[in-house]
Amino acid sequence: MAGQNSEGRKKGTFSRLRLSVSRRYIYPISRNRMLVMGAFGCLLFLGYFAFDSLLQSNSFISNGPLASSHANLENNCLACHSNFGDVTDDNCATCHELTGKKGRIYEFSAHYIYRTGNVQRIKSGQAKHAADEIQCFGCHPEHQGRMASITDVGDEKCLTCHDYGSFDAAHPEFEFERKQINDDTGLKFNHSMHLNDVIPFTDLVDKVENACDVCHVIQSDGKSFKPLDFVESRCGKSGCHVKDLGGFAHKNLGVLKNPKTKCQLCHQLSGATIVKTQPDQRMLTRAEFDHGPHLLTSACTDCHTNINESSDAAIQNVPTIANCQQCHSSKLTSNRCTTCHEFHPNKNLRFLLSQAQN
Amino acid sequence: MPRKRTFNINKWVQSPKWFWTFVIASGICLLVFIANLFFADIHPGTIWGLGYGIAATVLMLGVALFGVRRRIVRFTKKFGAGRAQNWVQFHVYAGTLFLLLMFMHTGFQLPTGTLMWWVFILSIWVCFSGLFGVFLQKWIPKILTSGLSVEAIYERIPELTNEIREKTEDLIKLCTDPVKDFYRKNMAPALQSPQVRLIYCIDITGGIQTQVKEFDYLRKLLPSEDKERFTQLESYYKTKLELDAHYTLQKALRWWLYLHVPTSIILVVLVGLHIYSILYY
Repeated sequence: MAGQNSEGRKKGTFSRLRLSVSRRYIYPISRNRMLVMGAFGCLLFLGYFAFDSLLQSNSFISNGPLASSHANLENNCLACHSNFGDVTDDNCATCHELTGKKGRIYEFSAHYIYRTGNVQRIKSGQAKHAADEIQCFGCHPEHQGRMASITDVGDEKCLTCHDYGSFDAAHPEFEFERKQINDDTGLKFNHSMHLNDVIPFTDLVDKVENACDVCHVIQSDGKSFKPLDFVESRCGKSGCHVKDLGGFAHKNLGVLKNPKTKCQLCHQLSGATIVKTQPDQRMLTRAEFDHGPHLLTSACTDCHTNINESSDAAIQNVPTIANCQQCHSSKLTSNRCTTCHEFHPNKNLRFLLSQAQN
Repeated sequence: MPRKRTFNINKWVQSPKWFWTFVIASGICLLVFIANLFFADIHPGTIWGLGYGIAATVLMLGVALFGVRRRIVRFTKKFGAGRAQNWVQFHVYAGTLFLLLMFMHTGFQLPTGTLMWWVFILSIWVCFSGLFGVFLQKWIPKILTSGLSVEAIYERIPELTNEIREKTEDLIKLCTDPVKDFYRKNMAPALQSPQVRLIYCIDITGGIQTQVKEFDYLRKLLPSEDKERFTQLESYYKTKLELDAHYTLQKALRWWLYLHVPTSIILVVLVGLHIYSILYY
């Protein structure tokens, strides 16, 4: 104090020092009280932790609520976790893969044959995929909240291997366009003539925009179209071709023995044999395209822009990636990888996986 | 011609060496995080995320050693780290860097679990209460020395208050009735014990001036023989108010530790529990 600073000296208002200067000037005298407060807080938390663990809920140390599909496992940590271990794929496989080790569609190797069905893709990648095996939780993290969608995988997961950036930035051109893959259907069909000169002048459609529906019948799921069927489609029932071809039933193999039948009118010939037709009209080998939502907002010719000028049946009228990027960009419609691509192959390809692993 | 004002960081920080080390370390951390954005997922469970978490934990433990500094001072002196200033600087800057690393560990996102929330909130609380303490340590001594005429050690304030009360009681016996009435009504309650007044945190001199203003009204009406004693009384009272200002502000200087230390202890234990749960599950 200014009034005095040592025994025997006196200044100002106050008398001599009667109290020695505390050595614990900086630290408060109640240091132990703070330690006791901290220890008490710790005991409260540890007590709650013990209580929570004993009740088998473990909600205190949990990273957060599980997704609704796993909600029944909320209080059973060991269903997924191993003590002092990781969340192993085997634990996931307890529920998600009941078919044994062979042909597991969730394994990384299965990713190689997604959509292509090409077993060689697995075999050529054998050495690599063993090291690249991705654990389930790598893409499907849990404890993100009850309403979280763990199947909703962000682009960053795919971009660790596929360095394409976003769909509207650096995604490669579609493979059929990039490699100019032959999309011969095995048929002779003049789209231009039918769309411009025939169908609009029949009573099959009320307007020319609906002309495609006459031959192309959409599947019940709305995603894609049924294989062309001359008998069941409206063009088959229209009467035009039945008359032209002498009223035969197209699926009756007997007609093929009839030399008068003009097969070559519609079918391409290879020597004396008919070229096998390509009923699957899909051109995207690695991606899924859902026609349904697109048909609600666009006409067929918005994407298949050159179909009116096409003089053959080939499907080369499928638009390039630039057409898709007009809408699927970061500012408009979804442009995430999983919008079109799936990581796990169709379960129907399980037999191929078994074949590859053998 | 007006003097050109330049910003000199050395005036604002106690140790520029520690400050620039902290700035560089924070910059490196952020650069690593930006690299992480390009090369891997932002997730606490990745190698990157675990690295941030481990670094944060190591820093936290280093910072926590400040609490047991005196017990290990012999050991640290061997390595030339025994200076109190270095300990304080490390405690402040490494504690702040811990918070940055904790945010990097969570990917600058909010946690999802109960324990994570507690660790997250306590980390922020402990860091900001620590920085609040740094602010108080710089601000309070400055206003105590610049705005008051007396200096007092916190532990002596009750004793000094008693002394002033005894002196005023001796003096008041010699005064006339109006002064005695004034003393009884306006001074006696305040002289009973040291008092905490929040006004001193805002305006230390104004808080005292408003209270001694009442003396001016009575002084004009007093006979000349009382005026001298009354001025002495005013001096005692003013000293008491200054002691109250010391008491209030020095109390704040000590009590902020109650905001910081107990929660720090809880944070260390909860981080331990977090690590245990991560290793176990």
